[in-house]
Amino acid sequence: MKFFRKYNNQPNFTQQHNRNPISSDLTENIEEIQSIFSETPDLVVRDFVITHSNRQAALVYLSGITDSQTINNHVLKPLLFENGKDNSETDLRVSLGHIKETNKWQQIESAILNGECVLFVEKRTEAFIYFTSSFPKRSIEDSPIESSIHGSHVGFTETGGDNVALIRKQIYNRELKIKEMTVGERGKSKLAILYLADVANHEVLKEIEERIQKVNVDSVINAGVLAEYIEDNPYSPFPQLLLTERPDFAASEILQGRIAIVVDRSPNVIIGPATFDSFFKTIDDYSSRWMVASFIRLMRYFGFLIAIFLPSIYIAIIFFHFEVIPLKLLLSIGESRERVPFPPYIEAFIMEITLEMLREAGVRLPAKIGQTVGIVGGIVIGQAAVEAGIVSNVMVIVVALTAIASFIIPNYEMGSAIRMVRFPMMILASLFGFVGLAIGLMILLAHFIALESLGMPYGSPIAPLRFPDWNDVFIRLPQWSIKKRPLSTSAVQMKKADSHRPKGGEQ
Amino acid sequence: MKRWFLVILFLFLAAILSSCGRSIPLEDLAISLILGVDLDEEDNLIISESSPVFNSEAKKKIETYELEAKTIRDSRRHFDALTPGAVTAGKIQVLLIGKRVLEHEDWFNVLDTIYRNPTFSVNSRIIVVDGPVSDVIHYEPEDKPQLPLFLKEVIDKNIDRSRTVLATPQSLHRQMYEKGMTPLISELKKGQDVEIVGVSLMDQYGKYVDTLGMQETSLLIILKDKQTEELTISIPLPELGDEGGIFNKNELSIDLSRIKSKVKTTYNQDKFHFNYKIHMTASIVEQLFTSGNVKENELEKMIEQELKSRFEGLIKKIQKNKIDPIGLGIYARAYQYEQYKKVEGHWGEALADSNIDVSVDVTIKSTGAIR
Repeated sequence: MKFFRKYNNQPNFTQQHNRNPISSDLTENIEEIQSIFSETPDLVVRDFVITHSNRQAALVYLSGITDSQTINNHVLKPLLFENGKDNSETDLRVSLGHIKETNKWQQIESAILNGECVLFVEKRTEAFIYFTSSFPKRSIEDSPIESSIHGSHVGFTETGGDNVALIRKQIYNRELKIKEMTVGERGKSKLAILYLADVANHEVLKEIEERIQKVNVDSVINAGVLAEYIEDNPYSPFPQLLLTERPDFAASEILQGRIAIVVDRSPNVIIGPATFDSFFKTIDDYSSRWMVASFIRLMRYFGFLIAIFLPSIYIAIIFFHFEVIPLKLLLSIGESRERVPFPPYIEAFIMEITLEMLREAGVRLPAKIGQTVGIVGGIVIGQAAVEAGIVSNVMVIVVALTAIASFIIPNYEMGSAIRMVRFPMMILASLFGFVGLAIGLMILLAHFIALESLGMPYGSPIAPLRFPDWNDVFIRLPQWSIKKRPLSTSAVQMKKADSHRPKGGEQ
Repeated sequence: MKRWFLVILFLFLAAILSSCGRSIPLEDLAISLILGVDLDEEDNLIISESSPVFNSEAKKKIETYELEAKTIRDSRRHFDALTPGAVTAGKIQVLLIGKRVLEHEDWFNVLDTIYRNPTFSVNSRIIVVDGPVSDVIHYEPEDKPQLPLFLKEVIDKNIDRSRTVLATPQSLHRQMYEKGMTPLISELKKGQDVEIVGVSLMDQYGKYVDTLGMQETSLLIILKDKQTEELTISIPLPELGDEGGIFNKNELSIDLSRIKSKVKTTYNQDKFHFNYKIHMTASIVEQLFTSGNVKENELEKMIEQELKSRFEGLIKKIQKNKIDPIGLGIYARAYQYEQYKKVEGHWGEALADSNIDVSVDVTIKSTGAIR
């Protein structure tokens, strides 16, 4: 322990700022700028004389992240060429909307880093900040991970402002409030916390803010990192905050009374407090008819159980409880197992690990090669391994079923969590058979009940049992019957709809 | 730190826990599917066993052994010496018992391990073999599935069609120790093929008494009020006159459904009286005579007459043998406890003395799709 402490005592990474306000001498200011941004080749300092007041001035910006068109047409052009008729000194004519004045170096520095351009004028003790930033960004596309059939084909991008705009587009309401925060000493990621002021619970909001304020790091690369810093139980296999790429899904969760955190530079939005059942919902559940949606949702829960327990049930049955297999199946399993030289748990581990590797390989590879890997892997697993007598036919079916079952879970994080949980289950099954599986299930349930997300119960409405909320958990009842927000968000305003459904056939 | 300590402690404790005994993957087991119990000519106990062979190179898919042993459990030692796999009894489908065994009074104790050992399957079908068990267990027909599957399916199908009774170790145990009834087990015999005969009846000590054919068994099932999915009876109607010729022209097949048989139990004149009232709905599925000759209610009467005489024949047979496969003793115990208690030890004889009336009421529901 001493070893670690020694390293923890190192001085903190604090940057020294010039605490002085900017001076009225232009050259002094430019020197200061140049000392702050040393070895910054993309720093542009443009000296010129403002035509209408005949003063020396300097425009400072970083060339890559500013919009040169805006600077040329709306800043430089009016300042250089326009000869004003009135001689008011203070009025610097630029045709831009977003202008700030400051005399603090710290603000100037962050403004330049943010792609804004700063104008220093001779004999003025404040600098002008013009909003001209234009970071490279991609256009808005459909989300590849959370694609949907009926939902909108819009996904979040890496630009925080755009993401906020996308959510605003879904909720035309003045109660949609946005709190901005910054995280990371160097990264200075901008966060926007979005919530409905008259719906969301303010204690949960305060909890989120406090947790974010406590995060003291260099930089937050993306939303996943931030989620890991603020989640309740880092030792749990289950994700406790929902990450989504879909604006419509984020908006619907905000409308339920949840709180969304938009992290600049990340295409994911964090949504909390999340409950277990929200990982099994997609936006398509609400756009398709309720029976279809309920059927698919039930299959997801079924897939959840299969993905966790099927390989371990296979091991337990082959190893301990062959009595439960129907006779005809027993004969065919026996025949295909006979050639396999390994005990069932080694067989299962070989196959499961192969499958996981294939999946990961497919994700990281470019799409065209990824397909080939899928086909090669499929053939290798399906045919050759069985023929070579490494695994049995039934094991291949079990593995394939498990894989399909884990891919049916709409949330990627939850799907990965399930794939991981099944390995301890397989070990338990190989040691203790069904008894071990029962114990594994009980441990899982106990953990599930104890888990919280932002201080709210994770298992709601199943673990703190609340039947009125079950209208949108395992089955989704018709929209008109869902009149209240779920209790798990602890929304201030519970009622969300008051439907006067026209009865069919009545005039 | 404390968390990790707990985790490591837990893993350590889990690893040294003893699990569900030995674990053997299923392909290394010799899973007995048939267990046979028989006596040879010198009255030595012969235990036979048949289990599937999983090896793809083996010519035969099933291995069968037959040997002399003192008990069933003792036989496992000998079987283990013969097969590569570990012999297990958890999946026994069919338990064959030779008729020679049943001819001795105290044979039931042989099966003790089936009940005492919890790994034994209690859902296997018990079948009595008319003749030596070895003939059946070595029977390898080319046009049929493997013997265990074949036997189980044949017996289950006949149970569904109410032609024989379900006898499992569990039900047999109950019947053996129930004083109000005597046991009955389905019976098969090996002629050209292996075929189901009906049921064997035993007295209260388990000794074999008589065999009922399939049609009689169906009637017995009606008396027991235990009919399952389907119950079809084909009867000739002698009142229609002639013998019917080569094509059995007076033959009628009816599908009986919604059978309700009610027993009224009384005791007077030092006798038990059982009054059966059997209601049933019949639909005619086959009728070889022309229907114009007979009116529907006449037909009902004829069927009632015929069935009644058959029931009476069956009851006579039961009374003659002084057994009670119907379980009328249970009714007697329920309704006439004091009188029953007096004759409990020899219920079969009391039943033989008692008076059993049967009245049958048939309603024809449909005469089929043609006139």
